[in-house]
Amino acid sequence: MPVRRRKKLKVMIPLASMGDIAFLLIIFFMLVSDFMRDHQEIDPALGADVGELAPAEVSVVVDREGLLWVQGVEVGLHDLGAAVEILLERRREDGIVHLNVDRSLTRPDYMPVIEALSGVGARIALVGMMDTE
Amino acid sequence: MSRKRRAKAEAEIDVGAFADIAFLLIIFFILTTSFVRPLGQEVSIPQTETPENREVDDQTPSVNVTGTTLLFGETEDSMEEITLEALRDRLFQMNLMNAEDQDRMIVLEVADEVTYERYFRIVTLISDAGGVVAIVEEN
Repeated sequence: MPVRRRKKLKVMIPLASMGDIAFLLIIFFMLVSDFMRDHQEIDPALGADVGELAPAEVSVVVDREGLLWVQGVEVGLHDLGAAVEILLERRREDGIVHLNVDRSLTRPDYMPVIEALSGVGARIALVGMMDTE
Repeated sequence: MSRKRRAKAEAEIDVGAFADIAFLLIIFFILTTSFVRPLGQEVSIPQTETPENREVDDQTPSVNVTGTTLLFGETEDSMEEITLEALRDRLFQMNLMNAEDQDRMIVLEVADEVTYERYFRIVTLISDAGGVVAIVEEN
């Protein structure tokens, strides 16, 4: 008995709408992204009087070793003021600088940084963690 | 003369690769995005060029911090040892939030051995109470 072969159906999935959804998601992520600038190893300071900060225009980190990083790039203390000034000029005038310092460092490590930032007229926000104890 | 009609060619753009690129971009953004806003406190530290940067007199409230002690006095002569909680109460009692700019100044003297965490706790406390931190530069 001859077997009749079924005609193969050509299935086509419309991918155009999937691309649309994907690009909508991309736009969403681009708008809400705050790219990770700080990848230095630090133990953040704990405090009771902390709240949510506005997004940083410039990020300054002093790591465990006392090394200074501006926007993820290592700089010397003498160049800090100029670097922050340039970055703030490129951005908004009332730009805020997030300062994240390792909790174990002592005054000679962090005070010159605060003085340098204050010297260029930066609005400083100290970054830390909520002390839950 | 009869004209031969061309058969209409069906043009189709392959968008499969297009979607692949889009999803790769999405994965990139998912990995690099941080939704969590950092915690902290914006502090008022007078800028070098501002008139606030002046010599403070002995009538300005002062906080003196060492590794183990915390001293506070509303004038230089009335310095006394105090706990962090008591300092918070005293600063809020001074109602710095509603004071004039020049009356919000708190002189902060920090010893070399003071860790950043201790400094952070005290500075954020002063700022939360509405104080302006004056950095003491030794002559």
